[in-house]
Amino acid sequence: MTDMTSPAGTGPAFAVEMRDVSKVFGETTVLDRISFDIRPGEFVTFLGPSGCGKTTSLRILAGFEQATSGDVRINGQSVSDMPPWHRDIGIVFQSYALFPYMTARDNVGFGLKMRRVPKAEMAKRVEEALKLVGLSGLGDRYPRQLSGGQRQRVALARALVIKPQLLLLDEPLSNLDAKLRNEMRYELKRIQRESGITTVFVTHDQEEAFSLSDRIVLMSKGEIKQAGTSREIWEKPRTGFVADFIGVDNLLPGAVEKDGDELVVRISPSVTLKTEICDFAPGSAVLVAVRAKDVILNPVADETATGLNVFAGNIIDVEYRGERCACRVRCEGIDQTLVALVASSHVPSGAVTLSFASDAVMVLTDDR
Amino acid sequence: MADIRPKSAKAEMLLWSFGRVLFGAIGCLWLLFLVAPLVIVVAVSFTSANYLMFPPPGLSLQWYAEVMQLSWFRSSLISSFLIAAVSTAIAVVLGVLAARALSKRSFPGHMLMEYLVLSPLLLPGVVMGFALFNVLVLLHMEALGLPNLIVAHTMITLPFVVRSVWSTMAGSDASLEEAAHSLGATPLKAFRHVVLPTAMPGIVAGAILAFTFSFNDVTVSIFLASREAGTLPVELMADLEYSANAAPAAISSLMIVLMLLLFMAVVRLGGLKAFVNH
Repeated sequence: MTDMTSPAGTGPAFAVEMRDVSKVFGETTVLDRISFDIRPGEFVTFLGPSGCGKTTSLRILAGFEQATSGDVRINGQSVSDMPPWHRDIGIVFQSYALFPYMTARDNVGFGLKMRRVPKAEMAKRVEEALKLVGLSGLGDRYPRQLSGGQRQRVALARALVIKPQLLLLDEPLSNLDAKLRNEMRYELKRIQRESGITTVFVTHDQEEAFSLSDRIVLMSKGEIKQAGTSREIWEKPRTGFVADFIGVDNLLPGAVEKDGDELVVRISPSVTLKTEICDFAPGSAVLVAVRAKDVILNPVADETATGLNVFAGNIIDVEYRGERCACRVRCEGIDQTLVALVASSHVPSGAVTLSFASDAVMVLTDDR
Repeated sequence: MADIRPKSAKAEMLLWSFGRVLFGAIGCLWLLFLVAPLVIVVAVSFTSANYLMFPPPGLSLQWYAEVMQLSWFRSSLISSFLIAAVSTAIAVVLGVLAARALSKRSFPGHMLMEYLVLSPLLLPGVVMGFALFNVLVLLHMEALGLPNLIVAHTMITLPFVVRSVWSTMAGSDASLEEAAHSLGATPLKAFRHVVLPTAMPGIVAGAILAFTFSFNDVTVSIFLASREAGTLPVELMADLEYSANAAPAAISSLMIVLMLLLFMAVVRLGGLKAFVNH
């Protein structure tokens, strides 16, 4: 490594640095000046819907695609001119990409063979890797003789055995059934923690992202919408897209207005919402987000309901969600229906009153 | 709800079973047509008579003994083998490279290359042979024999290799190669350790097709064969023109057996493994 950015011996401060990375395919901008840093040992997830640029980011890190502009550094070293086979990166592909004519052992040993590791050491390291992923004794099997979960483990062992600088996971759980996926999720986290390797995980599944990651990079249309810990993103979505993506049920477009000293959001000619924090100037078009769990449903119709953030309405649909049920309520003066959660044991019907605290009202840019 | 069962359900069921029986019968008939002529040729080759006759009046190996004495049989068998082996080897090398280029992302001239490589499949052999012969005459090279045949056979067998290798390459997971790269394989190593083994079923199949096509070809070879370098099928054709005895039947039988043995050997050696592992 030529340009260390930190004192000798401690290694560079960041395992991965992406600076203004753009990728343009013909007319389409797939990545629009992405900047992001990953600390050594961190588990970072690129999360977003398909076409958001998360896979392209991963492929640029791997070296399969060249960034149109910008700089990518791995452990302090710029890799823009470095081909994939010199990057020392382990990758687990969505399809696992196991070599079909090689046994599990030969698959895992492939990277070591390319590095001309002596036979004895190679055999030892391959067995260790197989043991780490819980496949000791299955080394002689061909991929076609292994189950989906086992193939996944072989792919992981193959990527880890070379002790890469960086581990890239491209939707590795999407081909597994639900039960196996949860099991592998736990395994993945355990193995990553044990090996302490810097990991970038790409997925469109927010549940996977939230349960695995130290940090999440939420992307849309080639831009980073929000980066932060699972808790930060879950509790404080920064834009309408983020709130929508993580599943906030009530999203209402509106406009900021001045009401005396306070700022309120008008969501219909007759309805305004009171809020605690509003970073927008009067007149701005915004998106109001209110979680269904924050909406209080009073099963008594109160026609005289007054005050802010209190609405009379009628339940038009109930969706069973296990312990809770989601009630869809049509309220006077609001175009959209509102969703509130109630305990499944006491599901009301008919006319009800909805209310929510002003600090439950998130005012966000509408960038969906 | 409407009842979709018609009154004639039983009749349809009967027709269905009858259809399956018919299908099997057609299959058997087809097999019979395919095999019957071969059976007759092989039977005739064991005749004890001095003329062609089916069924043979008696059995003997005299025609096989006779064939072994024919100097043109031995020399043309050797040149046929040589030509088929060398042209197949060249066609496999060129074909794998061409298939590789064609299966990658499209590049300028992709279509042109596709048509050029596959065109010998579309043209009648006679046309190919006649055209090649004219070119060779123009170059004063028509008397060269063996090298001409090898070049011509490479040309006509190349499409078989390209087609079958291309389809295996196109059908294989592109991330296999990327996986190899990520594990430290340079493009050359990835080609050797991943691309080639993945394409092996297609390569083996293409090589079998190429070899048999070359070994059996008459139409192209007849324009290019010289007295010193005649292929077995061409010599056999020539012999058939004036001989009425059973020697050609013996040669034909030998060729059938040879092809069978060759196919079995390839399957045994590497083909089977490559097929099964995929």
